[in-house]
Amino acid sequence: MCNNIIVLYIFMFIKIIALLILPIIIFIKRKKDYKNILIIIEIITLLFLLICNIFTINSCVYNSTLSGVQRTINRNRIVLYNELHPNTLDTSSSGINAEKDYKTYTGKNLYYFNQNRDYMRNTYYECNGNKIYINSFGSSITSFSITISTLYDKNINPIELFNYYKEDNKDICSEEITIEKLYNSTMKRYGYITINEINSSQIESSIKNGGLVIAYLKANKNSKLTCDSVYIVIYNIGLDGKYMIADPSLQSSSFVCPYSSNAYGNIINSNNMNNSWTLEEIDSEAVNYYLVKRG
Amino acid sequence: MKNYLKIFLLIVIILITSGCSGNYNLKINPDLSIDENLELSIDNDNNAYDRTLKIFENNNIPKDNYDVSISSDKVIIEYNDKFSSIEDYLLNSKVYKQLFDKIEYNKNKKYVDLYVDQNIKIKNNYTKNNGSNLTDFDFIQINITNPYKMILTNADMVNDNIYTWSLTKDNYNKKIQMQFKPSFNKFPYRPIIVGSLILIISLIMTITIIRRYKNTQKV
Repeated sequence: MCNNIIVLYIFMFIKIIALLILPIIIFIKRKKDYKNILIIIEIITLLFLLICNIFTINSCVYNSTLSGVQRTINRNRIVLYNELHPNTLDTSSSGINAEKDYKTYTGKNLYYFNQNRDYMRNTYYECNGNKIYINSFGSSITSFSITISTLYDKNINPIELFNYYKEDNKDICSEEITIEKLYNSTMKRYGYITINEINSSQIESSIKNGGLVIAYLKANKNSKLTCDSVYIVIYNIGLDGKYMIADPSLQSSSFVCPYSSNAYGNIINSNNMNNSWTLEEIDSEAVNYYLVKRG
Repeated sequence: MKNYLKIFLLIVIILITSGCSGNYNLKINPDLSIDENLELSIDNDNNAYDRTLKIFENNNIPKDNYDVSISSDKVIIEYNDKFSSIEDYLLNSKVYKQLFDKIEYNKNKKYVDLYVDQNIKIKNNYTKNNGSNLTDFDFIQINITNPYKMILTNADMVNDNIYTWSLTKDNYNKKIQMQFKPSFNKFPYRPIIVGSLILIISLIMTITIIRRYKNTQKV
């Protein structure tokens, strides 16, 4: 209750009045007529403090010392700090909406999610007591979520998809999250989706026919799209014949590939999604392509 | 001084024994400007020295701001920058964005608050090989020198006014919290005025006591 320093000061003030000032005044003015009123006020004040003490109504009564002031100040600081930075991890899938700033070749809205955005960054799973956050494992889930949300024209966000995946795959700590496993989890709940591995020559026709292509990329010395490996979605073809990509792990600022990466020193530009890419550029980093279509 | 020596030796040992390690040093100056310094040590293989130099050259970093050298089998990288204010640092520093997506920053008359949540962009032992642009360190130490009165912090270690957080691949889920009270527009003559008042009151009291003493002597 003593979460306001003013309350504490008021209690300290009452204590000083009751224990020091009033007794002195009563003693000095003991011959005056109004001494009885002062005595009544003194008794009421003491009773008030006594009741507060007995029923621990207000911790300020105990805190009304100099150390109490310090304790209250510290507690107030922590309360204010916790209000500023609430320690809550919202890991529910509700309220996560896709960004719809891009269109597919057939004019559908692309449901774009990014695993590094605030709405997803608290998603994690636990292995040996360690929290593993989605920024270190989530591009397969997020790219698949982009794909099926777009094909269904329905918000099936990555956290929802990840929850399905966790229900179906208990050994999440030791196994890699692959597109095939995500497909199985999605099929159980939604159905009517087909997935086929294709080669680069089939990408153009696949996209023109309303499909979306998930490409699995691995970094090499000349990589511009990833430092390690990533699943991206190829969703459209520009008038210049170049391809438009959605990268679910793209960061808000450009990123220098670290020393351990094959692409050490290369910069993954935060503007990558606003550029379009030739098939050769994508193919130089791609390992697999998956065509995802509504059945 | 001994503590500084210990820290220095620890840093040297860590730099020598690990694959990729470093220190990220920030100094908050009394005028709230920021000095940024990054020291990295990486193994000198796969042409690391030349590739490191290229990072700086290709990105037009002024030569005065960096130094790349070889020491035994390590490439030692040092990078420095200066920012006129915390806001300038948050907007323009490229280094911290390698480690954190963002630094939350609040400033009011009572405090300056800096906060980084636990999703630091560092690879961990559990990082899956499917989609992560994360910085790879065996060990990184973040040192913030802050001359102001600290209200709250969760630093792993505090030495004088240097606040330190250590991150490893096993210990990466850390928040970085710091709330401090800078002296905004502090009235420069306050100590003089307070001192003068105390002096005047002391003088009045002394004179009064002496007069009373003299009066009682007369009686």
